[in-house]
Amino acid sequence: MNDEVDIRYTEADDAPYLKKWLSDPTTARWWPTLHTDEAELNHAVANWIGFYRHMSSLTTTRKGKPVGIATLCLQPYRKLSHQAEISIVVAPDERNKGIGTDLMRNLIHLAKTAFKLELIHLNVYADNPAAHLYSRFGFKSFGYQEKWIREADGSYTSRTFMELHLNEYHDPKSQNQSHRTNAGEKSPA
Amino acid sequence: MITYRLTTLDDGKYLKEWLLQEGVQEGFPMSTPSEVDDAVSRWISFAPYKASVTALDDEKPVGLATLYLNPYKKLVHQCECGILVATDFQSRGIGKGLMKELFSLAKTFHIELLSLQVQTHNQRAIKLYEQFGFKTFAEQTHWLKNEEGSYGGRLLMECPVE
Repeated sequence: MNDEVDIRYTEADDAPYLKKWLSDPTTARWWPTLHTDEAELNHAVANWIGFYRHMSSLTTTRKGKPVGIATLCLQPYRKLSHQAEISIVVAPDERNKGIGTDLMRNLIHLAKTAFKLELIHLNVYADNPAAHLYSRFGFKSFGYQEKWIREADGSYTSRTFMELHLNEYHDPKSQNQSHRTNAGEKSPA
Repeated sequence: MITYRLTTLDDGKYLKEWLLQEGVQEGFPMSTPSEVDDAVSRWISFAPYKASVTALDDEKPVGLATLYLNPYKKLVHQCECGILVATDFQSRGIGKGLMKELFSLAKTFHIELLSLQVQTHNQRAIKLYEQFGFKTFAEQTHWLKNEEGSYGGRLLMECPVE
């Protein structure tokens, strides 16, 4: 990455970008929404972007334009407030450039420092290469559901549940040279 | 005698009452009256879709079970559900009766797979679910944190609707 790339808190105005990415069939296959269904996309985008109000969501930009979003989906109940599910998405034409890695590192930092979270978790669909990213950060599987999605052709797509205990988290920086240094230590401006 | 009918929005006040009974909140993540209100409004919101069933002792609601219908087409073949019986009416087979009603209701929505989440310590509920054929597909040990700092786990279970 270079100086064109920055990271900041998510804003309500990022919604059209998120919607565009979820409308892309190569992205949509990893999400529960149907990429051709306007109402579903609006519903999902509104729920997701809504976390900007809690400042629990980060957006990566390139030359000021959003290219990825990562969010702590904070829990509504006190007894669950030590943990959160997370969502990460990168623009289709910005994959494999370290955007996801950089977002994850910053999201973990936000989770630990701003929200004092102890645990973050997610679910990832079968064959989604993002599972490697999660493993690299130390996420461990805690479950597997075979028939999570029913595709249009009648086949099923499974999902794996993964979680990361943040007190056991070690920055995997040494295994990856493609991102800028010190990004993880910096809170978004 | 216990009978069953579709849930009405008015049943929400009973649901709230049961959730606020002593000991019941240990089975749920809500811990304040406003959190219970939030849960009740989500739960009862499926009543207008005819996706919820209420158990009656004579005319009085004593238990409730709901299908949390999925909003997205790729997920409509499966559905999470929730079930609760008033403390004074437990151990009378009402949970079992509600579960049967829920499976019938699921068929009317062409649901192939029911899922639920239950706290790991709630062995009585887990036994009931296993009797109906639910199997665990995920277990999280630190899902809930009690005020004094101890943790509670949850199981995610699923069962095909035949």
